[in-house]
Amino acid sequence: MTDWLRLPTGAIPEAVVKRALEMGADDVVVTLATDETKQIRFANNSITVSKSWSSRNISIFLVRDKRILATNVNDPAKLDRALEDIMKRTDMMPQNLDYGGIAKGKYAYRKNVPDREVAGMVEELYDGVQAAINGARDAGAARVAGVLYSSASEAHYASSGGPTGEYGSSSMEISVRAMTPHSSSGHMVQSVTGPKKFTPEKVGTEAGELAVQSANPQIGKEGKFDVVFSPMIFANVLDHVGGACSAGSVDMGLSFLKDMVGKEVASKHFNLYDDGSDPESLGSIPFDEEGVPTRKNILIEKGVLKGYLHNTSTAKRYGTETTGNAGIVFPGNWAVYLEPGHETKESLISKVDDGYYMTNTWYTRFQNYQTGDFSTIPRDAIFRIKNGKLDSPMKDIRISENMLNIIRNVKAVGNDPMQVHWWEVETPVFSPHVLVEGVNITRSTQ
Amino acid sequence: MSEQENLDRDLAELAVNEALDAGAEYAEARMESGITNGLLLKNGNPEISGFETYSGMCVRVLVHGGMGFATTDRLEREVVRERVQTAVRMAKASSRVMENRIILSDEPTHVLDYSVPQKKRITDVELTEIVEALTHIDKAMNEAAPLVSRYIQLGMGEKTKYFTNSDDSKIGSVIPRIVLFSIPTIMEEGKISQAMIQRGVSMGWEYMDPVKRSEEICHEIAMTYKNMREGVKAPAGKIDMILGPEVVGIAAHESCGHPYEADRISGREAAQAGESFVSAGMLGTRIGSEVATVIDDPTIENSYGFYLYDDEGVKARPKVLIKNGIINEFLHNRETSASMDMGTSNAAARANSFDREAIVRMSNTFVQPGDHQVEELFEDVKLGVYMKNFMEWNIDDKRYNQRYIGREAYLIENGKVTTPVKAPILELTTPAFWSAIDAVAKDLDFSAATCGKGEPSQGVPVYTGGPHLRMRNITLGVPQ
Repeated sequence: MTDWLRLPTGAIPEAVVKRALEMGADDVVVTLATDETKQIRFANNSITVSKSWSSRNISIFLVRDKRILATNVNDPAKLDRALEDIMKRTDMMPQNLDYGGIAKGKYAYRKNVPDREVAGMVEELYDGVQAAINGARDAGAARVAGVLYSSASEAHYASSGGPTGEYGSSSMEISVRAMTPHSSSGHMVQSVTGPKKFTPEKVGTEAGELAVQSANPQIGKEGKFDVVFSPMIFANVLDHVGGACSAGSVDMGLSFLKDMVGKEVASKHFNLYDDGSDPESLGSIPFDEEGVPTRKNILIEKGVLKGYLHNTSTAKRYGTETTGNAGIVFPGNWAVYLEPGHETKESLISKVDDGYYMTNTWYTRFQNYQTGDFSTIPRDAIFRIKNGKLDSPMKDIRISENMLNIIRNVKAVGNDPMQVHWWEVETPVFSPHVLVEGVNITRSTQ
Repeated sequence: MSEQENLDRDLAELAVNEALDAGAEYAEARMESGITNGLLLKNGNPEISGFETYSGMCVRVLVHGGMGFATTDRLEREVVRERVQTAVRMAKASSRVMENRIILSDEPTHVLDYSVPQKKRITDVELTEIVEALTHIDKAMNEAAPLVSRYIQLGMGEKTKYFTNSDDSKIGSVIPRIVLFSIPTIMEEGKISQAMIQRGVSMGWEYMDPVKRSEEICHEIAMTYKNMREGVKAPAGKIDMILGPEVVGIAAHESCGHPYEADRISGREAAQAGESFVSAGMLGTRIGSEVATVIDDPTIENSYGFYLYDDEGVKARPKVLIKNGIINEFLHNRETSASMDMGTSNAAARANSFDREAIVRMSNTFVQPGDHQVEELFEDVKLGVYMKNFMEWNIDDKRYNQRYIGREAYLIENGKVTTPVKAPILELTTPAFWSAIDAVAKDLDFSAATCGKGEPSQGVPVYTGGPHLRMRNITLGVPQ
């Protein structure tokens, strides 16, 4: 038996892989991840709670004779029992005939080093919250709510296919929603990998300014309108478009891009890619769950769908190569990027005679994932655009649309991408402002 | 399957005592261990089975009116001590940026253990049994309609919890839960329809009768298929509507339960789940018709949202949120009940895991049944739509503008249900919804759902439900 507690943390994954192979496994992938995250939540200009998470998790993915099992263990002392259990279950699990194996070989990886300052920060986080609240109030907001995160994590990885590696990551994030007594609010977020680019006061100021500008909104008008989307709201759209590019989504009936590789699915202004190798991204990771180095993958080029995101299994079934996006079970996005254009926000607004400028959304829900029919509810600062200029603030409208219609009707793309990652955008998304023609707006009938 | 771990309750007591020694005016510890087991079938193929045995603990403290919360998945004395010190330190630091100190309502002390009886304990179920049950359902699904893709997953777990606090409450519980989720995609002659089907309970493996479960799921698929083939356009102009329990339940949850969460009303969730169109001063005011009564009740046996004591150690009871059309009660935890001077909490504090803060949540939210037979509701409808269930839905973050699109829906002509109606859109304000109800039937049915709220997001198991009800003079939304 292995004395797991005597092993250095970084040696545990390889030792687990070795032991599982001795027990009869064909493929084994083990990741030991540790994470230290702090969160400060605030509302009504006061901190409501401060939280600290400390976690350690060993995830085991194991295959014997195409029978696939997975488990998590947080105490190395329990690894023997977990391995016995998982091997016993392989006898009870039918074969997954879609399984195509995992990546084999050794790879060179780029370094993914966390910002070392982040893990030790405590008092600075409270300074950040205070600065954000002050920024929003100085801009004219009455009430400020939000959340600030700092996170530092490490992972050690081993695969029976050959790859081994380790990486660290860090992040600092803030989300600020500012409100006025005049039925208006503004929301802004920031996600960065360390304190040097972290500017909570600026985030608070921007949220506060949006709240003040959108005071006393009127109920919006329904119909088809040209809409300028801010990065916050268009990132929500792109999160879903990126997700629909996963071969896993296609297989499960969750993609409106099924059977469309090589076809024109979006406007010629629409260039989308996924990239796990960008060090500025919160989704930055040197290799995927099979140990394949991450890279930039073009998804949609000049409106044409170039391909899906794959792991080894889905790539074999689709007759292509892995894109370094395993999820061993379900290939996924690391970070989604819309290629910026050349227009400023003001230039996009100036192109609209009668439309809307929207700065945030929430509650995007699908009627049918495969057709892409959905609706979402714009919130916070919304403005009518008239004759190329921002006009009255608006409220109480809904976008009732189809995802393909939205990306097909992109008329122009801004030059101001920002990384968006918050409650309504799960995958980090880099989006600029975007102008979309003929967006269907509805509102309550009574 | 592995044996459930026994929780070392002394470790939780240690945490509370350490926190008090470090200067906390209030402290609580919530320990948890669990066993989970799951299986995913994708297009009939056994994709993966995942399982886990886990344990962990959180400590929550109040120091100088600031709240600190720290968690660990390592139940070791020294780790727990460090976590307590971190929670206390962060609570103290919180009080730096604070306009109002946090206080908690005074609550009775409870010392007890409770559990949900299981005829067949889910921790005794072998993977082969799970495979057999899910395979049976999957095969039946595939015969119910021309499916182009499908997936079905089963998740189940038994959660053992121990809660203790500096008010001397000590509460243990063991609750099993099973959830089934499936998205079948029907395609024929260029038409595509999807159903999102969820079932969930807190009970043992006896729930997983594959024949019963597949009958329920296949009926939904068959009706969705029928609607796809035969559905006609919904009528324009003012009509009457009959809503089935599934639609009534989602409306009770989204446009009554959520806006009555006191932490939304007080603004604590403003940057995440949002606020509420309801203010504290609206208690006692009319929001709906005389026949509209909405209840949230966590004590319903075997319900998906079941609990008897919440995650702050407060004894659960039914809460009447709307009583005969009048806003009657909000959902509270100890913080909101104190800040709104409500006296005591009504036990709505829930966390979905040991590493999540307990916040104000729903449990089983439903419209109270009325006096009518279901058939009576249809009798004097000249032209209307019967929306039995829904697909797309959403509501704004103040819970004022909502929308439900029917999946299985029918035309009502001269009191009779006639032809299927394709995707009727009910898009209206919350007061308009609750005011339009003029009759409520005697029946009652529940649907299982996972309610999302909090940051990090916490999905908690809930029931939504109600009887059939009738709404008058509704203008349906126009499809794009």
